[in-house]
Amino acid sequence: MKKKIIATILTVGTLLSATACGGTVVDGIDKNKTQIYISIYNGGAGYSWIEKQKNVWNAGNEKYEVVLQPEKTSTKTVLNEVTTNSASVDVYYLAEAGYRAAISKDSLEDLSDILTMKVDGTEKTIGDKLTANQAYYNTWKEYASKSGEGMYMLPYSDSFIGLVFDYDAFVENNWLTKASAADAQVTAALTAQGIVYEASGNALTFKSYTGSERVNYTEGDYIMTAGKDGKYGTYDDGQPQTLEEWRTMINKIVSVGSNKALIWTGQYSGYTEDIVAAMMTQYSGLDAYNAYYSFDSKGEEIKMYDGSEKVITPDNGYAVYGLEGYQKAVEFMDTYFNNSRYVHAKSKSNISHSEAQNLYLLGYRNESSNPFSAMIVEGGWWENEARAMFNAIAERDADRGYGKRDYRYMLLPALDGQAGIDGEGNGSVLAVRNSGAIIVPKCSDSGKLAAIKDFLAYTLSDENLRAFTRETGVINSYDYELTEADREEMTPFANTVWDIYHDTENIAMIRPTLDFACSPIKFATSGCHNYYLPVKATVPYSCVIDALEAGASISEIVEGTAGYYNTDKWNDLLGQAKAAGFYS
Amino acid sequence: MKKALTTKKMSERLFIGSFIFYPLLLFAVFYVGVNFNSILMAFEFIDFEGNVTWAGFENFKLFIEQLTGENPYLKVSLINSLKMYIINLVICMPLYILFSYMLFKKCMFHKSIRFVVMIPQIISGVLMALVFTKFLDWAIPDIALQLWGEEEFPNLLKHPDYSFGTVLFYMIWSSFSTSLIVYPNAMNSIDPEIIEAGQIDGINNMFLELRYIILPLIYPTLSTFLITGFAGILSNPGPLTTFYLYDAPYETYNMGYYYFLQVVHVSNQSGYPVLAAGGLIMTILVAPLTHLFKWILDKFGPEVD
Repeated sequence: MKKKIIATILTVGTLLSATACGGTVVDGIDKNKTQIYISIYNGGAGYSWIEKQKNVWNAGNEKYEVVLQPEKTSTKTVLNEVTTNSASVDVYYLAEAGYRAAISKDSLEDLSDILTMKVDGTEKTIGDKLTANQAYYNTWKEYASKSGEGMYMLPYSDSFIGLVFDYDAFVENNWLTKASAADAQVTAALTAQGIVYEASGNALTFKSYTGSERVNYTEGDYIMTAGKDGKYGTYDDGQPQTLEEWRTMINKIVSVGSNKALIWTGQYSGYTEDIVAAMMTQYSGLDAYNAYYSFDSKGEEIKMYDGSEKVITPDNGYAVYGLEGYQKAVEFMDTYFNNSRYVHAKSKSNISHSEAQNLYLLGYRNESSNPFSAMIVEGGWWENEARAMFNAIAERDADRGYGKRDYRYMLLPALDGQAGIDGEGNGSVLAVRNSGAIIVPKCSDSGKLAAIKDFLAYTLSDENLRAFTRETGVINSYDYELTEADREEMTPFANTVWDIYHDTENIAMIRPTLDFACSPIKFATSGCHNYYLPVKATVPYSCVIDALEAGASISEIVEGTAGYYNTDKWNDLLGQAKAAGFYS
Repeated sequence: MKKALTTKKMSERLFIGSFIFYPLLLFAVFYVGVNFNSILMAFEFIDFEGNVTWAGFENFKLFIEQLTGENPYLKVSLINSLKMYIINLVICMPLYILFSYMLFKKCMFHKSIRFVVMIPQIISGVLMALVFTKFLDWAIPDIALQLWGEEEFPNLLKHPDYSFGTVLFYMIWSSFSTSLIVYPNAMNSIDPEIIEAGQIDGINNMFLELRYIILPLIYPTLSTFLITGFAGILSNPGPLTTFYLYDAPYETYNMGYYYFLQVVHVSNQSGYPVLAAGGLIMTILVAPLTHLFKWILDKFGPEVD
């Protein structure tokens, strides 16, 4: 008997351990329905937004039921699962979209049907929402199709990274520039824009607004300078525009007490690579950026760090790593991110993104171990991700709860001689880190596949897209409008993110993580390299800041990066990519 | 009677079989199958589409080219792996034996010491590493700030000058627990009469006792540790994955970690054959050396007599 008891316990233990793999299903299942399992990336946007949507869809569907599995599965794991037909779920909502290899191997379902669906009660199809931004659509189509045929990934979220700052704190401390009451051009521009103001000494305060476009001032607010977009009451008001103004602002910040200008997560120091990418592109221009990933400058010469100009083709693609803009970006990083006077000491440790957020939010207490940090390198999801800390702070200080402070993005300053986004030195660049995707591994059950497509289409209705943004502050890269009520419900930061994302006239979004992951030189070769390859004495680092912190000089990084690939190494990689059918 | 015995034997075999079937299955799939596939793969070329062709020794050639060419990571990994083993052999092993002997002799606070050094073994490895990391991230800089006003105390796990030393320290510290369980137990199994006989023969201090009685008698345990450590010299990643996952500083790389990263980061299956060939080369290098090492230990080790 004793043996039987032991055997039973051990057998149960063995079975439990053998079945312990796999994600956690968040709720029970309906035995009368066929389940559609969805792995949802549980990052900054969380998954509560889709829970509500799937509950409504499940209630209206008699045969199928969507079941969520929130998890943080890596791209590598998902790629492996889908290309080996071992996926344990029917749909993936992913933070990254580097699945071109899976598309090439025919491991994913074609979701083109969804693009023709009309889910808003109007003639507008989901495809119409995707093609509204033609430039973005073209890139997405290239990565999500098989040589232009089909659509094997649908966009999910599109979140950029930048320097987040507390606008209220910056105004209180006089770190932004106020509009001058004595400047007739300023007052004329305000009047032309429909902004009614009052003079307050040499400054101006906002009184009311008669225009039609949204402004982000409330009565009594100081009116700041117009920012790079030239308009008042927008996301960039009061911000420094030139490098000189930027330097002045940073020095003002650190001159107060033990203030620091910047903090970021040391554990994911790759966040700072998006600053490098944005600065590089802002300097060298969008054409140079495109050449950086496509290894094709379309016959145009682009300027290198050594003063030479080169036409980039796949055959000499490695030459693009000597881009002049990269040098400028490394210089910027060295001056401001590799300077202990400007940087919170914890950024050099292994602190996680959550710890960095907590330090940033608690910085106002100015404790000796955690000085105030003026800006944090973060993505559009951060406020939602840091809700717990906001709520904890709100218990002591209600004015600092979630959505109470006006957090904004600080645009990068213009460098002398930069190409900007129009080739004439204007505009700002921001880098998208999370270009999320929805993929469906091959499914042999046509009924289930139809149900999956129906659910996906449902989540892409205007109403559900709005709900996603309203709740998470994160944007999905489809064309949908928010109502004034939506905007009121969103935090000031989420509103800023929305405004920046949609200001295509002044802001260019680049997607280095996506472009790198979808570059055949990366996914179709055995080569394993990082997307900026900062090199110190032949040792490649995963990001510029790591190389700088390891003691590399600017010239070591720039020259090392430019010379990392020689003709032989490059030809080997290019040969593999060509053999796989690319760059031919 | 015979039938009853047979039935009893049958059920006993079934009982035992039910226990060993699952581990045997795992062994067959995850050891025999995986290694067999790895050996085959070393001689294959796999293209992007997954088509397999015979590659002969091309993958071996490529791996040796990487090893001898400009691959700073591979070089530092090899050096660090050797350093780790040598430090373990020259510094750690004597310390393990000394501490174990002190515990065996029931020195002052031996129970507390045993408890403290066992903590890393009791608590999950990931949790221990997390506590250690957070201690370095938060406590040490704060202590430096409070005591010396040092605002820029380096992070010991990230700074290029200290990261390898810190990893090494953690390895030594966390491996103490295993050693302080195994060695004292081996020492406790020594018959007290042998020690008493030694004392009669003139072994009248602890050093002599350790040298002439304890070490020879625990030598089989000692040599097992040395041999298994040697066999794993090129495959042991240490705590790097727990500390850094994919982003260990260059200075801390070792062969086990290098291989882990290569497998994790390889873009598609076309990268695996070179790694498989590399693995085979490593085995070819280490296996005979391990046997040689074992032979030396057996031949020149202390005699129990």
